[in-house]
Amino acid sequence: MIRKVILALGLTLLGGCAHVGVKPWQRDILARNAMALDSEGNLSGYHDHIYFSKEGATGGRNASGGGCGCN
Amino acid sequence: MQLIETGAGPVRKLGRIAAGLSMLSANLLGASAALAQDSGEDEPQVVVHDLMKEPAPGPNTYVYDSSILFYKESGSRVQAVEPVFNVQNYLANGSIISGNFTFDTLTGATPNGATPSTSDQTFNSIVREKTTSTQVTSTGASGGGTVTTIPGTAYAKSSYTVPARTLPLASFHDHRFAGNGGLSWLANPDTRLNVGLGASVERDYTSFTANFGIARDLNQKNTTLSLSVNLEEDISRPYNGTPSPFQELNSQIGGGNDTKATYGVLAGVSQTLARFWITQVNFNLSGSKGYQADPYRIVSVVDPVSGAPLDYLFESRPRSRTRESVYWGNKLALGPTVADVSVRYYHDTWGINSLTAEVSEQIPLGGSLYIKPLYRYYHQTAANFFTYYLVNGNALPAYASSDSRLSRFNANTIGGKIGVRVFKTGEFYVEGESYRQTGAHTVANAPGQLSGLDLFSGVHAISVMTGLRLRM
Amino acid sequence: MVLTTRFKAMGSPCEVQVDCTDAALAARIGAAVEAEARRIESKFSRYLPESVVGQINALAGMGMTLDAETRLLMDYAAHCHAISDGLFDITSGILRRAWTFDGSDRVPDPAQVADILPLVGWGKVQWHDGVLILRPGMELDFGGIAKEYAVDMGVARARAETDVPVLINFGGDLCVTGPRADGGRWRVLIEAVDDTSAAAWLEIDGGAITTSGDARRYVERAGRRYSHILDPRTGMSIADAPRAVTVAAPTCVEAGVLSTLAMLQGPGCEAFLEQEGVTAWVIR
Repeated sequence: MIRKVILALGLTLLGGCAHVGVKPWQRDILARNAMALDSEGNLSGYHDHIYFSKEGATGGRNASGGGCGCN
Repeated sequence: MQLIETGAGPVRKLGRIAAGLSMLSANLLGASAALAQDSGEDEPQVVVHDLMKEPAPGPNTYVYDSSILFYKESGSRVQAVEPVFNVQNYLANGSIISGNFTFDTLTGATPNGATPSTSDQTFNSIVREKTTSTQVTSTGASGGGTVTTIPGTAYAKSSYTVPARTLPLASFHDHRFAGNGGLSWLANPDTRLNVGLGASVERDYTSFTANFGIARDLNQKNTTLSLSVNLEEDISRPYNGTPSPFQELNSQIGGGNDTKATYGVLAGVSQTLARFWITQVNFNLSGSKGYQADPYRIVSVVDPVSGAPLDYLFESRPRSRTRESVYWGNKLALGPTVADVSVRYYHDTWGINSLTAEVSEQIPLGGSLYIKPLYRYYHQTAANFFTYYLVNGNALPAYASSDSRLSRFNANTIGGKIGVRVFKTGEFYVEGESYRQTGAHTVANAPGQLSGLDLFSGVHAISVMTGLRLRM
Repeated sequence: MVLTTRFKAMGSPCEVQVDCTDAALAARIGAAVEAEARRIESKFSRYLPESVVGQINALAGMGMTLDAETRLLMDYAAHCHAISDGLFDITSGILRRAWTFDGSDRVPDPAQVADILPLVGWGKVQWHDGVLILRPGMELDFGGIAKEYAVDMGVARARAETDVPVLINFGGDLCVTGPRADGGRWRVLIEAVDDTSAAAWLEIDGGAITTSGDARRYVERAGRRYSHILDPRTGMSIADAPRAVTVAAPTCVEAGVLSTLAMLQGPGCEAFLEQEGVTAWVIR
């Protein structure tokens, strides 16, 4: 089910993609460090590790989470 | 003064350079004239890319991120200290070489899986004598345990007692070293490839990971499609061998090491929706086959009437698990602040469904300081084989585990981060947060004494992370 | 009849000559050209910290994106660098720190030049996808392009206003929109390059003329004359270069690069101009 939902969502997004976005010189705000999708550096690794060792769910934001015997 | 006229013949036959310049100049002036016509956009002249963000780091730039985590669970449970060192080298050709080193030290106690009882409970097990020295610290007693050798054998009897009405915990002490390296490069200006290898080593667990990914920019870099494949091979080497499913705690374990293989794929789209909004949708599918139980975790077998523990069996979990998740993340610039809003829906074949929502907002205070409050909500349903206990006399199910990570619970994280710009291109940061799991403390229709005992074993943890990120 | 508007911009005397009797028209064209000159000066002068070039130089070491017009000029400079095998280089301006051209015999210590050279060279600049990254310490200088570009843009402005013939001359870099109203040529005085020589007249009925070289700016040592034009590849002055080179070409930007490249040939200046089929006047 989830696969169908994401497929539909993905196709919808892609369909709209060609028409949305910014020009290269409008990237001033997007260029801020805080706007990077992975702006948290080592902290995101810590969060992944803590949540991976205490919760049943993992993954999504990235594919990491494995690699230890804590789960 | 000597005036020499050159090249003034009737026909101008231009050389390579002059002809090239003639074309370039015509193009320049033609394009400039077109720009002057089309002056609708008020385009900023110079837009600076913020530091430490690809592709801004200059040729052959290094970004170092060194940090340490202090983690403590209340109730004398787990404590951890985890320093991490991360380095990225941005090369002039767009390649990025990265390395990451982690060293964990974990001490404290973790639930052994048994239910509390109105009486003291003594946990007897048979351990391998050659590992006795580590054994005492690894699954030794909470509040003092004993290890007695069994003469003429390689085994010893281990025993520890837990007071009445107390969640049974087993203490442990472990180290973990993990390292991974990655290389990412541009196959062409719009396509980035990456490979990574990693290893994580504990005394009783080793894990190897490999990943390969491709990301492609489309639509003037407003859209990025990415696909990555992850492989993981884990080797579990329990101190006393791997117990069989539902093997009695107080018995000799025959099994050796066991392994688990995981294959994952992550497909994602990130899309710039507006000057102030970038969004990302990922779909993640992974499958694991092999040993996925906790080799130290037991389940109480209780009397159907009194609820008193009669026996303790090692847990049993399926050897196969498939996980699916969909993640939607957003970065939204709201004036000078940047909000990070994300949700994740997760489902696996063990029956866990989970919803995660996270929001944070980075708020600048002056030019070189910011604060970032954050909140995270997490909910999961229980795995279909989760149970707090097994009832004596009932047929054994195929699988059973009392691991709180497989139970139904909610978790709330509240925290905040402070970042300060240092040395012009660096950042010093501190983040503190409280993580609290909540759930049902009792089970309806629990037999006898168990209806009056707190069965919930979720955690409340405080963590502090601090680090320094430098670009040079 | 020629009506002339004079002003000073980009460190040079500037004039706009309009071949008509309508004073209001001449003033309007003069004002439009002057506005364009001032716009370009304020955008591309390296002396103004708030100009694009001033900002770029202040931000060396960081990544930045640039507006469309600057991107065009950057691309132009990049292509000129490639086509000239590295002789035309907008990063070479900082070599001035080592050289002082005051007619004396002060040649810089080679070590001093060697210290600066790591910061010179277009090849060290990252310029891809509209993103520019200079190495820390590097500087761009549009001095070899901006004035000529302003003349060409001034011509475009004048043409947009009128069909009347116009001559625009910014400090010796000049361009005409076409022949005089009577069909004749414009007569242009090329200034004397030093006290001993006479000024020369050139006649032009289309295109542009630029002059490189300044007889007062040189270093003379051991009987050899070192021009103020520096080779960006070695950091050294070009020996035995002409005193001045005047080049005719359809546009001022083109003529400007050609005259600079001709100077950089040193003794081979005339041969270069012949080979390239460029109409030029060389003063030795």
